[in-house]
Amino acid sequence: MKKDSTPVMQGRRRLLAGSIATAFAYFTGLESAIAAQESATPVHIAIVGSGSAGISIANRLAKALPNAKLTIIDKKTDHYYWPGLTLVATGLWPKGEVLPGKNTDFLPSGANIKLIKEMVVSYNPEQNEVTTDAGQTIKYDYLVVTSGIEYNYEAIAGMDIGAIGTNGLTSVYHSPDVAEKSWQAISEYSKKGGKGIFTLPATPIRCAGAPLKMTFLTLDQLKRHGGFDKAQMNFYSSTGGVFGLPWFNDFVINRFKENNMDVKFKTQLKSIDIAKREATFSTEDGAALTTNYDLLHVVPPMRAPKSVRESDLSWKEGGFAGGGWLAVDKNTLQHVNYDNVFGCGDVNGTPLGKTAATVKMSVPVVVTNLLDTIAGKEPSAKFNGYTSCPLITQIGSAMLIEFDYDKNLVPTFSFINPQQESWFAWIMKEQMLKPAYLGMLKGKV
Amino acid sequence: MSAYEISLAIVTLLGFLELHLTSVIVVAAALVLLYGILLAKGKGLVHAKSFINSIIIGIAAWVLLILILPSATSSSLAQVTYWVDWLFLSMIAAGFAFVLTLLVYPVLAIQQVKAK
Repeated sequence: MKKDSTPVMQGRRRLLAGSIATAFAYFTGLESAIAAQESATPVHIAIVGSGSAGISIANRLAKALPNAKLTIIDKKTDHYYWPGLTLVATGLWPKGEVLPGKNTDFLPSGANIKLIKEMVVSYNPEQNEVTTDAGQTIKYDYLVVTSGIEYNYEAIAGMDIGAIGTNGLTSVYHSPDVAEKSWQAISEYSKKGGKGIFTLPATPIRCAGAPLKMTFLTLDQLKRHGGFDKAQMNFYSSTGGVFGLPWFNDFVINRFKENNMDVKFKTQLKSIDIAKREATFSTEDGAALTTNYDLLHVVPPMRAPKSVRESDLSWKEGGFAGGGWLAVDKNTLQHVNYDNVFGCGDVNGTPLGKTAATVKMSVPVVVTNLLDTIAGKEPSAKFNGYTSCPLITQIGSAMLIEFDYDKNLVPTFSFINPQQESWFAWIMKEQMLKPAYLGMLKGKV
Repeated sequence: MSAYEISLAIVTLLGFLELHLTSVIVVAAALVLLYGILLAKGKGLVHAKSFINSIIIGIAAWVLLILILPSATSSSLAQVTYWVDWLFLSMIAAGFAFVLTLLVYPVLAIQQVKAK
């Protein structure tokens, strides 16, 4: 429903009509009394997606609104610890480390909580309903979209996900299985050397630091396994840089060059001939650059899932329209047209942050603002765009980079210098982020 | 540190222990068993000589752990370059050394009681 005719307003009217005491509270400005009663109202909240954002929001809502009906809609059963995939793809972690359990192991349970193992294929926000791939229509009072991201490997001609791990073809992004197969190819390359190409697409991507971590860790594995002197490493970025913050952008490029790497900008991967180990890029001047490789790390262009992209919920103009990202206000994370719709996680069309760290910091904002909306109030919480990248610079060292929409550095632990490579940041990434992540799933942080 | 930083640190630490629950249970069981045996000897918990010796062992373990923990975490001592690294390395080593001291003390005390 569009603004001004949302269930929020209807709920408020119901309350006012149904209780003199509540009406008195409203007119005397005792909003907290209304909020308390509203939170006891059995609203129906649908959460699309059971990734980190969906699970964390479900856990928080189950505590905040014990009488609410929660419906989580997602067919995926295994939970992936995505931040660990770079470590799997570079041989530092076994695959099992990124498979902490099933989504159901982390979701709340209760009589009012239901998991529908289907995928949402269409949204009808005017009617407050979604339709699943099984043909089921689910009505809701409030909707939280946390359906993640779509990897558009098809945009690269000749790309075959099934071939990853063979013929020097790698990609950290697809799944734990594919990350593990990527390590097979990187392991071989780290001994033999040759021409290695690491790519970066022009679209917003999940964990923008991952392509850089893959490059740094492969460099380190080359040094450890004897292939470095026989290797010519390259980083081809489709954009004008490699990282969004100028100081770190320069740092990474300089570090690449110190390792004799060639760095090209505005150079976009267009097609691959896997059998020939040949990749073709478009360059800034529109020319095609075809080159052989011994190792190719593919980072696919990314976009919102089709169901969001092709719905009324996506941006229709501006920079996020191309990817069909969810049209939410970047501060409140409330939909720009539908007050009863919120977004969280990778699906959001916001300037920064498709990371687990962003989820951690934005989930409380979404929950607070959803509760405000249910209570008939304006959203009170503001998200600053926080995102974090534990940038691994070599095995055993990292930089803990945390920043906001304004690209200000906002370290969680103020005594840590984000521009300092450290063992501490490595320990955070390798040992401590996973427990923090699992705590976030449970709604504890 | 802010309340958020403290709560994040506590949740993370508890989560870390949860991920290593088997080790936590083994250590806890060993502590219960060793201190139970010591109490069963009927000579009390406090044995000064064993206490001092276990502290010395704990300090030695702390120094040793500072030297080996970076390697045990796929890093190296050469990569411990920042004052925050040294602070946390010292603290983490101290934590493990403390647990070791707690385990060593009853063993030494039991031997001391037996020797008397």
